[in-house]
Amino acid sequence: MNDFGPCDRELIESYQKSGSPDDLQTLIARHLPRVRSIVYGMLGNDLETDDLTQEIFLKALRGLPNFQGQSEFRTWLYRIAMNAVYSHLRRRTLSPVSLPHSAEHVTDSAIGATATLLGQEVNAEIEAALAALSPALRAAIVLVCIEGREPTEVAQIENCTVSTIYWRIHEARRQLARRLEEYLK
Amino acid sequence: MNSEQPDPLDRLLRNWADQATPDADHLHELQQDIIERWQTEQRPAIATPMLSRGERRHSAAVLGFVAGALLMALVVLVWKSDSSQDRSAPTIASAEPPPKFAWLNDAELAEKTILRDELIALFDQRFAWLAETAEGVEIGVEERNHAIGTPSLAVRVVVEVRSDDGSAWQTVWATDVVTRSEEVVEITPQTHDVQRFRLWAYALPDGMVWVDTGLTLAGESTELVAAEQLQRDGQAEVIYQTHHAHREIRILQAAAVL
Repeated sequence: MNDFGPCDRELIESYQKSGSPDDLQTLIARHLPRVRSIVYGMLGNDLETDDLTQEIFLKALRGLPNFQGQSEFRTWLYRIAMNAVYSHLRRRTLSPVSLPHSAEHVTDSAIGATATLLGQEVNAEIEAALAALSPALRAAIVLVCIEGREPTEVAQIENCTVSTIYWRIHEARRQLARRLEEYLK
Repeated sequence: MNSEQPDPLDRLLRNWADQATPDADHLHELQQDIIERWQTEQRPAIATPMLSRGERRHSAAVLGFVAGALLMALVVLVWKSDSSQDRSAPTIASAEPPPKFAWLNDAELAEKTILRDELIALFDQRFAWLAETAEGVEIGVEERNHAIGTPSLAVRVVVEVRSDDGSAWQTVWATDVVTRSEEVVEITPQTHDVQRFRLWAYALPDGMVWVDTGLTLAGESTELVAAEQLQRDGQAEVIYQTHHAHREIRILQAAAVL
């Protein structure tokens, strides 16, 4: 979706012709929230997420001269993002995921301290449950169930068949439901 | 359950994701960081190493331009030694185009495709990667069968040195790698100049190849050079170049989808 502005391809072509930073700003602003959200879903750590998100966009910008538009820019970008995440996870040899962090995003003024604590507990459990999934299962659940991407697009991003993606979603949901059972009632 | 109602698990996950979404100011700041880093990389002079905001405190991102702005690339240097003060800043800026032998031409790619097919048949879909060097051949085989149809890639890496009096480049180490997409290739060359080699490459939907290369170069202080590069069609590029102890070192690399 392009919010009635120029599409990604037009922005890229315009940037390649003019070098206008405005085109770049628009392109990044359009995709940054979703890419960061995907990376966060995979890493579960704000600091690492911000660093890796920067790296992903820089990789994509460096690759723009070679982007021939044979696939959607978004799919191409998400593929770079997921591979950067996998590469990062491989290098992260210490604790699998730093937990928890999302409490800072919870506003407690309206819902009260008890609810905030409950929210923190639930968030920590969700993060732990996601972290316990294999990266491939986590990617499927993050991209399809959280980000709302179509399994066909995710199959392209993950370089596998659509049926594999469906199986990964099924398996990830099964594992998450078991672990988060008490919060699903 | 009404089919239009979101699944409780999906609802839980989306609530969590919504709460984890940073505010607009944070995203704007992140966007500006990206733009600033990109603009720094775009400067034609040797880029100043930048530390990330996170935990990679020993990493520095350095970029230069290839003359004519035909390509852009990043070199990330991870310094393993503290004794590098006399080392000039590395750069990939080079007026010299990569020599033809560093390219992967069509005939070579065709040969490597045949080699790949034979190895897949030989190892019953468990073939992962092959690295040829002057010292020999190393093959990586997985315990399990791979999915049929996983893309395979060819990558050529060449390390060259020359003295700083401008003499001709000499190849001190080279390897041709045939690998399935997203396999970690790791070998330990028995040479004076390169002590460790690691490569991880994957195919992008657009026919391009992302290559993450790491080499431990021997010298007065051992260093790991790590370069990430987006490449296509077997075109060779200088992915790293530095000047150290009266000699220049450069790494050439070509990659293609088979």
